[in-house]
Amino acid sequence: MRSLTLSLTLTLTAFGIPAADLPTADAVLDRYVEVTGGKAAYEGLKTEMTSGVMEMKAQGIKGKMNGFRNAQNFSYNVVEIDGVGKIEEGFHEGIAWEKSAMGGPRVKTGEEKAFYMREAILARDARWRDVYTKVELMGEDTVDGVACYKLLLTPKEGSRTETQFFEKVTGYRKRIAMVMSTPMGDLPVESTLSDYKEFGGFKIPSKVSTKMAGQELSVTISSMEFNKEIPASRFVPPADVKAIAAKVKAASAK
Amino acid sequence: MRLLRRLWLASSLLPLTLSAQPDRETIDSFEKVWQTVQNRYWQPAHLDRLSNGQSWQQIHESYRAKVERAADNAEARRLMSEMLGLLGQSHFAIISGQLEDDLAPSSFGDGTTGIEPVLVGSAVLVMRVEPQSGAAQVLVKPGWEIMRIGETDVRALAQRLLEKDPSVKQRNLLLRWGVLGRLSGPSGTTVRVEFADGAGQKVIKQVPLKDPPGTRVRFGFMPPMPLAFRVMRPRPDIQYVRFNIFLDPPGLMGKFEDAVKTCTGGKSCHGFIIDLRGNPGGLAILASSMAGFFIDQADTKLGTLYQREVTMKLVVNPRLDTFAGPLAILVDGASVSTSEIMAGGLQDLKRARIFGSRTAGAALPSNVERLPNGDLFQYAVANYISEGGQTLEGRGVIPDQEVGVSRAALLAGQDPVLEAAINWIRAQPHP
Repeated sequence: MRSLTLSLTLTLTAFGIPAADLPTADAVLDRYVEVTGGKAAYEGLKTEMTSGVMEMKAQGIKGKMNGFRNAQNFSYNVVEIDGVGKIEEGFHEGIAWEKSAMGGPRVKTGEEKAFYMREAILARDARWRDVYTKVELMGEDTVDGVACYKLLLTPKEGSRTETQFFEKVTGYRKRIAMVMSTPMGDLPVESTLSDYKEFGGFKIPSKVSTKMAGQELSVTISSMEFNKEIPASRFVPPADVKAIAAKVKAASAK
Repeated sequence: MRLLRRLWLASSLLPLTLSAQPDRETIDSFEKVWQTVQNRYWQPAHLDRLSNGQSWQQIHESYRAKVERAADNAEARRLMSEMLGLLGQSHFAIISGQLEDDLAPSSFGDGTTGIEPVLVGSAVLVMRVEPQSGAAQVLVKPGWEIMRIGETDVRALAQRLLEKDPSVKQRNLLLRWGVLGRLSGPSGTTVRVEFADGAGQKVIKQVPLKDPPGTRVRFGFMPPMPLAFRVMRPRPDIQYVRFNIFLDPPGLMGKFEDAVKTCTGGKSCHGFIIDLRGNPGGLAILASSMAGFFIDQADTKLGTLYQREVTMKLVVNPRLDTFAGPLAILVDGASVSTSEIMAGGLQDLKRARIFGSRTAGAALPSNVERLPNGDLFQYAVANYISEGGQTLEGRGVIPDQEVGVSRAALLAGQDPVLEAAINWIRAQPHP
């Protein structure tokens, strides 16, 4: 911790920013939890259901999306796009999976699996101490003209770090940048979050604009519901995904 | 590629309505087109020296001035197309929004004759007649030469194209599109076609135009297109599939999977043939997705897409049950884009043997966006290098077994390319 403080001091000095004026990374993350709902509210979460619209405006591609999470940290997300069909993905009992008409059923492994495991964690913002092994304040920056604190987060699962930006004034998260592992290779991804709205007592960014591989994709959340019952079957992967998972497991056991 | 076809047809077929000088939106559209290429072209060094010797930066002012002085939006559009032509690449096109609206419901979609044309030498022949089509109804036969469609002298059309630009790489493709465009129109009407039959005698037919087989699909801003899928057994133990476009994943992939499933799980199937002749492409990811039915090795890819800042692999996702037997892919000069990626990739992986003639060499992945003036702008976003290290753009896929189409064979009701594939499969050991 001492060496971390030392390196942080050096970094901040290099930026010409007095270290004493800056909060710690822990404080920035804890503040985010407080301004978006409070630790107690997050701890009371048992399920989460999200609905919205996904759009690639420049290409005229649009679809509706729904997401589900439960306290066992299982997840299921589905997007239905005109002309593309259904794209499903989920995490259930150690299996991170995806199925679409375009690509067929697939089981995710390695860094890609680690990312989806993290994404599946219910109330993961409040549980950041369980999710990340190291959080570092890198200094200040501006995102779309808004002054932000810049944090580097190292996850417990996987090795890909995330750079996150939090607004100095509001405490809201403004941007997430990382390199995502995909079957096509490693792709830099940058998501900008805006239009925080209240859903069920939580302040949620209702607009997420993501840039990846030269494409821009936006998600607009229309509703979020919490602690509604979600049938366990919702999270169970399709039979062909399970069969592939068994095949992958058997192959890796050899 | 269909958009390119429309662009070409637009310039050759349709007198565009004259209007006043280009409006503000068209000038803004010019800027968007120029800027998009400046920002997104995958190989910036290429922009330093275009086919006219100037750089992309240098031509900005001159083309902007030309567009501002253009007599009307149509001329401005032509100038933008000319500017894009300096890149010397496929998949860069401007399509009039008005034209799009005019063409989509009638000229292409509603009615077709069911004639599949092929260019043999300088003659355009009937290669195939779709069953239950208008052409089948009036007894048009494969091998007949198409002499005239309506008022258009088809031989002269071919000749003009050859003379206009002898260097054009995709001559066969453009000619085929030109013929197909003239063999389309409102469903329920007819088109007058003059043929020369096998004996060289003139045959005139009023060919009924009918809705093309299959379902109408669309993707993003691309106009609706019919998706036709055909599966048959040219021999009892050989499966054959043909589809006209790589779109509509739920519909196309479902049918494709069903076709493969009749060959897996111990079912009698010696070989599999995928006919990509005349297929203009579509979603590139569907090529690697289909390849997953024939490759059971993880971490295999068809090729790599090189964008300016990222590199993306076209990874094959092996399916649960794959077909391990001989796989033949049929191609021709009108096999474009995703068709070339699939054929070239599987050829490099030595998983498929390719039959037919060299493909179009227009294999760049592209986006289609709407411009401020309502026109559509198609632009390539990446270069594609096949797994064997080949750039398919401008080169195409060279078949393992080149098989030409002769008039005599077509008149005899033969498909020499298909027969060659069948014979090869027959010579392979059973899976």
